[in-house]
Amino acid sequence: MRKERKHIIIPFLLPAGLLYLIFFVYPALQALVVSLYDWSGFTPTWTFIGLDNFRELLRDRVYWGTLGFTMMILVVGGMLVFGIAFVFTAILSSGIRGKKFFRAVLFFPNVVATVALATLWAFIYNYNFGLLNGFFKMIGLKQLGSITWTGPGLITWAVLVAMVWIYVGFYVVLLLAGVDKISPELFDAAKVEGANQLQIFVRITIPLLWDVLTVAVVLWGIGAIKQFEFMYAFAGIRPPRDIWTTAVYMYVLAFGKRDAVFRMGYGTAVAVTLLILVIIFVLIARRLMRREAIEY
Amino acid sequence: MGQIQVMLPTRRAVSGQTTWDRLRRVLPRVPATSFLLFWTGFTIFAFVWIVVSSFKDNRELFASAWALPSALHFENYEKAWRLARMGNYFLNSVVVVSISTAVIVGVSAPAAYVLSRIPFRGRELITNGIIAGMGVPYQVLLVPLFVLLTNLYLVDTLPGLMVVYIALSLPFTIFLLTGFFRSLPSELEDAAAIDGANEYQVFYRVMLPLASPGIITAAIFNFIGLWNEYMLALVMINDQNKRTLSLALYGLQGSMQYTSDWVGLFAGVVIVMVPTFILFIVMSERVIAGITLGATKG
Amino acid sequence: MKHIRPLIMIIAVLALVLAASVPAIAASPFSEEDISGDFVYWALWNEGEPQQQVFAEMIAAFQEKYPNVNIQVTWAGREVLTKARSALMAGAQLDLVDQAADELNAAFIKNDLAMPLDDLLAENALGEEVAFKDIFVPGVLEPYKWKEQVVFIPYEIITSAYWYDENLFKEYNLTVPKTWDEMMQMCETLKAQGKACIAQDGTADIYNAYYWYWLSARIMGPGAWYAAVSDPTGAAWDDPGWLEVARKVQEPAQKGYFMSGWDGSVWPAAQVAWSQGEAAVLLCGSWIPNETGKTAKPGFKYRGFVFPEVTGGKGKATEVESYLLGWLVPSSAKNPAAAKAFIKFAMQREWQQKIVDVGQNMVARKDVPLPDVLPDMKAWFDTATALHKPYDGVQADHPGWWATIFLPLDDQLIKLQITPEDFIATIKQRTIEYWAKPTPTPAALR
Repeated sequence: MRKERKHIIIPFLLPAGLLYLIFFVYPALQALVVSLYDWSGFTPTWTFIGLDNFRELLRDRVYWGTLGFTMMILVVGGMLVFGIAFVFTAILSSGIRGKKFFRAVLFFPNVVATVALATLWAFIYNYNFGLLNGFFKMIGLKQLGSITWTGPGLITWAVLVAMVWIYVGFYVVLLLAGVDKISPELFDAAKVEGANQLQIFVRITIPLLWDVLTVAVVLWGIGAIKQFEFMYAFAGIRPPRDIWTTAVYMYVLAFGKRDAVFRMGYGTAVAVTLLILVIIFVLIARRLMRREAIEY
Repeated sequence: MGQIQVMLPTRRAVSGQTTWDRLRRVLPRVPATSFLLFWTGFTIFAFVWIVVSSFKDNRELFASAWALPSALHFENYEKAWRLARMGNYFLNSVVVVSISTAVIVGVSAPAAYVLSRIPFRGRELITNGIIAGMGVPYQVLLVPLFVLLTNLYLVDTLPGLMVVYIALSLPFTIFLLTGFFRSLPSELEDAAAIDGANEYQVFYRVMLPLASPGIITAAIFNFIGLWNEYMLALVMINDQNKRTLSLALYGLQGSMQYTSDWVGLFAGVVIVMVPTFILFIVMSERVIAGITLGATKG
Repeated sequence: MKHIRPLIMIIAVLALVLAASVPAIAASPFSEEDISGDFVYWALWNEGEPQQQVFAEMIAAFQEKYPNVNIQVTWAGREVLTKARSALMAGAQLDLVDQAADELNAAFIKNDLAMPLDDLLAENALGEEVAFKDIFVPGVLEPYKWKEQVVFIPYEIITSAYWYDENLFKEYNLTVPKTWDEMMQMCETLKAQGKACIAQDGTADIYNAYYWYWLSARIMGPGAWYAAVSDPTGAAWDDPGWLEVARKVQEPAQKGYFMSGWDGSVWPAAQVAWSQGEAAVLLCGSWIPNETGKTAKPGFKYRGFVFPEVTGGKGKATEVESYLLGWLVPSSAKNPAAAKAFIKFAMQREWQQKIVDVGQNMVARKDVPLPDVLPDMKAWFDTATALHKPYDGVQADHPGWWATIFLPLDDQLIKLQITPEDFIATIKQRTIEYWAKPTPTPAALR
């Protein structure tokens, strides 16, 4: 019917495609090649070592440790973020007064520079001067007021809480945008039939939100697996080891911070595994969440 | 209780019920609503705390994080402003981030439209190839990109930084926009085509306005993300006069931490935050307008 | 102007001849007109830091003295080498860069990318009748030589030690401990009075590593750790001395001498608490007056003592760490003449004094006194019998071993999450694995 449609494919794709090929794919391929070499990043001479970098990864305990924390962010953090985002979306879409205000406040951490957020949370958790311990001491809870929130075992959770706090607003905004597109008549009809808020949310909102939700889950996965900046800025001198994500480890290996490791080839191999992880995650998420598109 | 009452759905359909029915509806929501109030309260407090702390002196800050400043130490701001030269860099950030965002959306929207609504061979491959870009940790691109920009004589220039920002933002933006385009109804599109509109007109007059909520969302996410970006700018920009605001903040963090001037750092944070805050207020209104627009047209 | 060129050539040739005949007191082969063209310098300082301000002033003065040169300085911050790497790969101009010696070593020197500077050192110091190499504190030019040539020129010297507030020591009637046992005794005394003894930012692994490093230097002697790491058979770890080191590393945590909350302390929380008098001592670099100056409680008087000897150990208190900040001229530099001229210019007494006054650090010129905030440091260097690299050179030469094997294990050791016996056994096994790799890391090739 619309044969002419095919004619716009090339002109519409070309600008984005060229920019992407030249300034993204080409350097990324170069980076992939680097992962097969032993290279410090400073010399023009590279040593080809095939898959040795990847073989070394298998035995690298630090790598597996950082991958564990990355997975914790992805799974546990993801459950918390989406659980809380759903609760807030449900409240905010039920005709609450001040919806715009709440949404704006929830989203606000996302517009603030990561350096600022990391500094803030380091101060909240600080053992001696921190807001949290200070608060508990003020209200007379000495026991709670002398917890080392960033101590071994707790620090990963402490950072996870901070991340959930940052990202919940982002997903609330995304989900709300989807909810707002749902025709109000559907809700009215359900209410007339006596459905309560929970039933409406589960039976109407979530199914109609599915496309947005798929986008949100994929975005979360990608963001979580590459998580870097908050941890990197959490303590100025260098991030505490317990909260190294794989992306932080990659940066330490390739660029150093206080350690002059300078292993560009090995660091790039680490990054390649992250890329593979993201691809696997996206494929799984899309497969699991695939269903007929609902137009409304 | 007045607080809870306003949270009831305002539509007329719920009227005419007993008080008991009402309570039954409202009570389960009390914990959730309290949680929301606590959450937003904490968030507001956290940022107010940064602002308040930026007026303290360093000893006060560490003596008691909860106390109010004894005097307003405006010199923190004077120092942060002077040392980080934030006035100069504000304009750079506005130029770089605005142009980048406009180009990103400008080239992504047509591409996403084609990829989401026109079936052709290789479409899946191209779409996945672009979306896979989201998984690339951009740190690995630093060195190859720098070399590439040098060969193109774009290194250490704002256009060069913009090109990098644009290219690296494409996967996310195209991913986001294909989702939005895919969810649009096809009736209007078909109707326009039957009415004799050519394919360019179908896109610019019908589909683009329909997708405007998605496009505005994409623009805002990109704007905010690029506004706060510093790692790429750190590598690509050497000239002191070409720095962006967030790069300046990063530098300020460096100098403040090594001299334990924490209140100065907070002052710098506030300086960077205020424009974002204002932009955010203005823009979040635009999101809402865009979404409403999309809803009425759909 | 053209007819001046041959004249300069003649002068230059004459100068070279002179330089060859009397190398000890040679005149500079560069005249002021020779220093010209673009000169690109990337510095480790951030804009706004006190030392950056000194350097900015210095550069302005250099520009005035050499008007034909066009200086392009970038205040790159501590990540200067991240930027430098990209620039080198792209063939961009970079004539001078400064950073800690260990980082320059791994990035430039070992990759054979540093320009030899022996000729510069043989010249006279700028405006002085003394060889340039003779103005330095003894022992700071040699450690980072490459192919028998000096390639790194230090301008600042840092050392790690225990730091304390003199007033607090008086208040608690403490004396400086000479041995590790005295140190533990001192902590016991403080603990009995309810006072925290040692501040430690326990989430900073490189700060935790100070304990292993210093105890191994005092018990096994400087160089022993380096040797053990370099031994592919791992046999060196069988020496019972290492077990003693590991046991002593655990002592402060075991006996509760670290300030409470230390194991979760995020830098700089512990050093701030220390500067406010909440703990007696802090083991850290001599940058500490600079870093804590603004938070220190009024009247805080910075004093320090070297890491105490261990009775029966092979190391001595006179063996001092020297952590150097300095310059390097990349071998690809397009304007090495200007870079070298700048190094000499910056090493003048006047500018070195400014670094001391403003930056409050010890400088590499031996005739410039130390800042008032570091009253003890001069004596350590005056009486030093040997200088050694930070972390015994392990961080610099075996960064892979250091970052992926040692630091995670050392964190467990100091936090009592692993027994000393297990620690040594694991270290030994992983060192063997490290060397058994199909390809040694480039940094490990010497």
